Amino acid sequence: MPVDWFPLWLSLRVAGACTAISLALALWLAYLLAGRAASWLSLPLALPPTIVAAYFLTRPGFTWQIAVAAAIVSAFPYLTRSAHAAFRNLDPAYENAARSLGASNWRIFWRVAMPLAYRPILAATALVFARAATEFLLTLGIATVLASPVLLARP
Amino acid sequence: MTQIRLTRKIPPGFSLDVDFPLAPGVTALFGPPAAGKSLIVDSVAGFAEPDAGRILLDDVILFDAEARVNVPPCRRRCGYITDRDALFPHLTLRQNLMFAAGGFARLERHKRVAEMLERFQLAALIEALPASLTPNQKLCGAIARALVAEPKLLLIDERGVDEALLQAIRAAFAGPILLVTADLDLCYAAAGELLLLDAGRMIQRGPARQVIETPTSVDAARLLGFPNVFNGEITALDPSRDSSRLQLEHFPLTGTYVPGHFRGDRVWVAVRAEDLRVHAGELEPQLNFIAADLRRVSHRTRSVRLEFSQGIVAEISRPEYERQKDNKTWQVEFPPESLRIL
Repeated sequence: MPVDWFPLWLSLRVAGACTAISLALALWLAYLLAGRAASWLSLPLALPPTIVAAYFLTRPGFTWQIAVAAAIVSAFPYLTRSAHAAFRNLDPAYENAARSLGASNWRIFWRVAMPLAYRPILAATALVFARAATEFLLTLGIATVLASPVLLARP
Repeated sequence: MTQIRLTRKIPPGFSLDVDFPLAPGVTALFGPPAAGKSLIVDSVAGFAEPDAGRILLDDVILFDAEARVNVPPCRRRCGYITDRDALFPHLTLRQNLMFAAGGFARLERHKRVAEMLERFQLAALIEALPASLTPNQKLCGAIARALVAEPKLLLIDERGVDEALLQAIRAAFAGPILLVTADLDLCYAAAGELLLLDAGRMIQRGPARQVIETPTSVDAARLLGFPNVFNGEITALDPSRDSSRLQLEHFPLTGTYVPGHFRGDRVWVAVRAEDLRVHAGELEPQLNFIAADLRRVSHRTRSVRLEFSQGIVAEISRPEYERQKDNKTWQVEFPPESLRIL
């Protein structure tokens, strides 16, 4: 029996795109807010996937991009929250020292903040990727036409 | 010109108000904890924003509350060393310095870093991570890193700095250094200017040795560790014989002439503990011999501190104490030239 790799490929594509986009957005927002407490960042987590799915159902045209968008909605808060916590855990002495040495924010982010905070962010990224790849409700809701990542055969 | 003028209120009850110029060389900020020393350093570096004032560094305005100028820390060119050990832990010593040298051309960068590591005797440790360094090496590394970036002003808020290290810094850096310290001996040995701070106020400012030798107020005398501070009244003044007569609360004293004062003025008298001499009570009383009861003896590493009644504290050498410890009664001598009239 020939194996149909399409659903697996689709899952990975959706999860990969979702993780990449969420990570970029989350790092940017988390670093921006690193100076203050921002517990409201977890607020979107209160959104059940069924509601997200229902919202995206009202959009015309079921494409894999829409599945990505839906997955981002649920992945983004997780990542932002972890990244924010990771950046806030950094000793501000490092950042102050870097700033007094004349380093730009961009340089501080890549050379100081990220190397020191990447571990928890990496862990959260792996979780989010796994979750996006196996997200059942969302995909079942809006992308059954394309095939759900969990349904390994096309209907 | 470098001038620092700033005020900052921190509720409840703390308010900082200072105004002083900064000369090349070491300016020491000396004061008890919570005097506002670190807040001054943070404000100059740009990590704390004053409520009002102006910070001028080499004629460049770093902060001006009225003109709404607040240059971000990364463009202030202030080297900033704090007691928070701040070498980046994921970078080796060489990489730490290279980070600071980012603004220079490639060849120049390597040369500067190597030279600075050499200067602070860190050349053997260039590939070491900060975690494997001793606290003193970390401090040297942080200073070397700050100097690689060519600051115009060096801010040091760290108690590990000693005279030798300060000399090494002076050899590598010609600009002004603002040093927060609680070590009066270091101020005397290595600081050009001294600023006494207490509870956010400037108590006294001037050449370090002059300030330490001649406090001009009671607060300054207390900060500088004068244990004998007495309130009194001038009862006689004689410029021709260079003498004055003072009536303190418990006893009279004779001092040198006090210019700028009149008979009847209320004054404070401060005397260092080491300047007092003690004698056996049986001795014939002479000028400024005050009979006193010994209340407490405390042994120091190099001396013995004697606390007498009437609030008199004397510090004498150990051999001197051994010679006199069997005195039945005591007299304290106040040498006239040791009296500081405030």
